[in-house]
Amino acid sequence: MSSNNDIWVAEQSDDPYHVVVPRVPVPDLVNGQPHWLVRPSTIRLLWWIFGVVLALTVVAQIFIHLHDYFTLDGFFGFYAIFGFVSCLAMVVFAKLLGVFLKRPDTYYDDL
Amino acid sequence: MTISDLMFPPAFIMILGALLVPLVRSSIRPIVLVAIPALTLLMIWNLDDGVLLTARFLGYEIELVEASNVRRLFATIFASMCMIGGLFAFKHAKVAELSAAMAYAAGAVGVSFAGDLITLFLFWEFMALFSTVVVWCGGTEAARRAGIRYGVMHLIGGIILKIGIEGVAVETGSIQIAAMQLESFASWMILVGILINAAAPPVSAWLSDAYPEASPTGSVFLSAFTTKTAVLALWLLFPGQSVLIWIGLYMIFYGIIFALMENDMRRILAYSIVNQVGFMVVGVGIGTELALNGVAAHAFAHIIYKALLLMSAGAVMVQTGKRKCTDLGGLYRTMPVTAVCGIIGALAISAFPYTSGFISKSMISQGAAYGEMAFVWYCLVAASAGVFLHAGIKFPWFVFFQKDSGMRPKDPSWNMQAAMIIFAAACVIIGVFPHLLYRFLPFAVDYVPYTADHLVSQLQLLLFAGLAFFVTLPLMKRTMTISLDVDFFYRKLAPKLWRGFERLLVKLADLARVLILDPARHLPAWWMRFHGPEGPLARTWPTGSMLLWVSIILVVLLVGARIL
Repeated sequence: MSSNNDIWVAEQSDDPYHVVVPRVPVPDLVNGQPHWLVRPSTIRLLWWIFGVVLALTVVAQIFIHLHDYFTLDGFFGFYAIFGFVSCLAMVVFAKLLGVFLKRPDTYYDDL
Repeated sequence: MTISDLMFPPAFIMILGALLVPLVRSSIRPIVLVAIPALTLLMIWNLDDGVLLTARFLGYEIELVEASNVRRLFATIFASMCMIGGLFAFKHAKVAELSAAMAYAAGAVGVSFAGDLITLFLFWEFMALFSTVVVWCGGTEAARRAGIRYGVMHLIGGIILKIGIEGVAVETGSIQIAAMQLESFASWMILVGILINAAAPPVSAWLSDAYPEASPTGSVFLSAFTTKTAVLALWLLFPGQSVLIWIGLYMIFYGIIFALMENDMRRILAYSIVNQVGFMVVGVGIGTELALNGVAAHAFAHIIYKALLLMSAGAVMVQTGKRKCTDLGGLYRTMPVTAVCGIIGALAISAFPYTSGFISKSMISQGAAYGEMAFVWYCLVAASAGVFLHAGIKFPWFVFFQKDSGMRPKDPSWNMQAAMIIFAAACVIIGVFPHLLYRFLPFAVDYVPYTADHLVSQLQLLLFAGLAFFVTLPLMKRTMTISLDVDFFYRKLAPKLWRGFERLLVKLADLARVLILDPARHLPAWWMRFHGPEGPLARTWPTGSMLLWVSIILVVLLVGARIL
């Protein structure tokens, strides 16, 4: 890593293990360039690939009969819709519950 | 081995090993840490079915070793976990932690082969003791306090279990471990005692309170034994008790929701232990052969991928000293091995095709489908998507990807990498060749996990759950918070009430001193306080204030008289 142009600084962290972590002063850059994985063009491409794969899993249902045990699960795209909607519901529920249950993470420290 | 040539339970090898660990030189210690569990494994695999070793204890004939295929399966994974965990930990952990962890694993192996309730209880308490030591080996003030809370919780659970065992022994005269009906107070007490160790509601909070405070290596050991011995005990004692289905479903969703709110990476994983054990508890509640097979397979697979996840979290902690998602991110650049192993663990816990979770968890939900439990099945499907959400993506995303934290730590030492690679390989091998695990399951397996139907439905479910994650990413912005849980009552409310009570006692004692012990000395001062020149009762008050109070009293009297 010595060939790297970034200036490396060691930082004493506040953890109980006193680990000295190498750090770069400017995040997101490797040799002055963003890592290929975080470039906007790559991320756009990944979204496209993800979209195509998502579509494929649903389209596959035309060719492969999914066994249904109950009523709702016989519908076309059931797993896609059910998975998406139930996750959405859980995230929103967690968000709402957080309003009541979240406390600063120093909450128990004063005891 | 048959009854005639078995001299001691397999757990004793590991207890001996635990004593040996601190005595040997540090250069030999890794060999001991690997060889002792290996010897135990050899012995486990050579045990014939049936009761193999009995002894007399307190007037009871106790069965120290009773083998069957499900017991061997659990003991196998406990001993393997001890071995790979030892490999992971030996460079970084304290000697006390390594020794305590092996004793803790010995307890788990002992419980696996316990033929009667007394033996089960003895090894159960042995585990409680040494797991508390493992928590304490976290070495911080927070770990010391969490360890005390953890210990107290498990001792209370132990007492409840003991009450139940004594009740059953008195009522039926038998201390055999066999499927029970929940028809007496005593059998309920046994169930409650076991469920406390399984982190069932309302005390699920002990797990996410204690495990993340242990050392980066300690939490790897802790994740494996306590909850899974509880699952085995439920499997043996309460198969098909439908109350377990509802308890398990609660645990599943509790784990998901709290993990979604959490910021500490190891606490996210701790909540997901509760979630995964919930799946197993539901499976025990369903109680069909398929579901019970699924529970055994899932416990086996779960110990591997959960340890793997905690290993990757532990490696990140060792290398960065950070544990909060808000401090982490972007570590894939310089910790590729840890990131890849963590991702494999995350895929396995999400039951992604060709990982171990796919072939084990699906047996449980299939059990619900064949049992025609529509509501339970829909819940399990939704929960499978939720697991991908909270553990499968959230953990690797916030630790290894998301925004770049600027930290550039290296991958951990070779032994940590080796342990992670072994477990990651195990996740994939079991996933690709399910029969390797299926042939050791308690009942004959005619379940085929890899059908086009199952692959398509699972991929649809998981990938759209993934879509939901990235769509709702703004909602999941990490906050520097913890979430209130039942532990609020004993960590905050009870101390507050106690302090209020103490203050009250001090006041009463003061009063008593004034009035009884030395009235001649204290009484004048006391009077002066209230009736002296500056005392509230001797002050001149404005007329308006007197009028106000008179009118208030008048109103109260009038209203009172009207009501009466």
